[in-house]
Amino acid sequence: MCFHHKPKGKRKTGDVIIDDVAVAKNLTDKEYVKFINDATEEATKKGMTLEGYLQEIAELLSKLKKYKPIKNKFPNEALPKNGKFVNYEIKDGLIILENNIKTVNSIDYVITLDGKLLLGKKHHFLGNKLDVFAAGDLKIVNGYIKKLSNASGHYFPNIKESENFSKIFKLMNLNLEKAWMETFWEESGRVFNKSLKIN
Amino acid sequence: MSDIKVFKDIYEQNKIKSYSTYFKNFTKNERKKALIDSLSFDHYNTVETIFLTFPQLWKDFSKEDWVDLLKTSIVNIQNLNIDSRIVNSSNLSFLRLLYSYLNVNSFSILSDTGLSDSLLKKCYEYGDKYSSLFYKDENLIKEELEDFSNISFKKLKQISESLLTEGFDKIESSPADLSSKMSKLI
Repeated sequence: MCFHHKPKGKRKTGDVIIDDVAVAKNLTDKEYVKFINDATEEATKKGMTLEGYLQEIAELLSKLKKYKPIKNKFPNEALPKNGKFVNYEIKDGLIILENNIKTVNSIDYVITLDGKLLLGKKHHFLGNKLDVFAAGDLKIVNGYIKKLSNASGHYFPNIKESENFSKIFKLMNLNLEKAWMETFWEESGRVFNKSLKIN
Repeated sequence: MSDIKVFKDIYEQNKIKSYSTYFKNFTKNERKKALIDSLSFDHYNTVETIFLTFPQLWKDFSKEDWVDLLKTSIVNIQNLNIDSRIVNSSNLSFLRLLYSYLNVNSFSILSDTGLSDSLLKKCYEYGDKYSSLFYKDENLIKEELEDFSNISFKKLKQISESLLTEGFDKIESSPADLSSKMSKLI
């Protein structure tokens, strides 16, 4: 196979490897081209080279490795028809949604195992049935994350897993200086929650 | 434009601010209908977003209005499961919102609704299962009002006082107390 654009990392058996970290796995030729195109677009948005961008992803994935993936508790359910992605960009740690929307009371998120923060509606859809590093909802005000939760009926992250969420968000260079963490959990048949300012 | 379309814009397109004056000239009955419509979205936070963002929908409601709203939102519920997915019991959300934001015991007016014993039992099960969610940190409420609402915390307190005078009971002192009270009623 021959690819015109070869970043610093090399491609082996469908994976894109940068510094021994697989930033993409099991890609077909078509998926590889899409991956490179998407990555090039993202890199351009960030004012980076493709190599620099892939290096950044590799570093992030390397840091995320210490966190245990959270299981989708209902992986065999069909994807919901009303699931949707909401595009966004991150500027100086702030989240700006598509159509320049900077304030939203609740938007679902997952952080996928390939280190992507996906925003939209329905966790099962966002996570494409797969395991994730984090899932819940966000409240965003003027681009600042004001609330970060573990509220997800499909992933139901437990307290221990949820304790890592703010660390994972910080790894992704998201500004949490104004954020609260709202954690839900179930015990003896009852649902509990607590809200704490993130330090 | 229907309320549902407005709420879809808010839920699906995140267009909260576009509708800040939309409900301005609604009659009380139209506002109640709008609040009921907000329950139809399968996300646990949508009704809370509507409630917080548009206090003009409910800020002049009397105890009788809340009795009416609770009754209308609950009376036609069928096959309600009080399980771990709060979205499955979103029709009971006003019990929680009244309790947590207006600090009045929403369960204390249920006897005025004429709801059947089986539906009342569902309400108490909801209060028991989710008692923790009926209490909110005051600082968090203040931030939420500042971020999303055109109603002040002081005004919220005044509304609460007024509803208590009209016959609402005070809230239980803790989630554990609420849970215990609900368990006895089930």
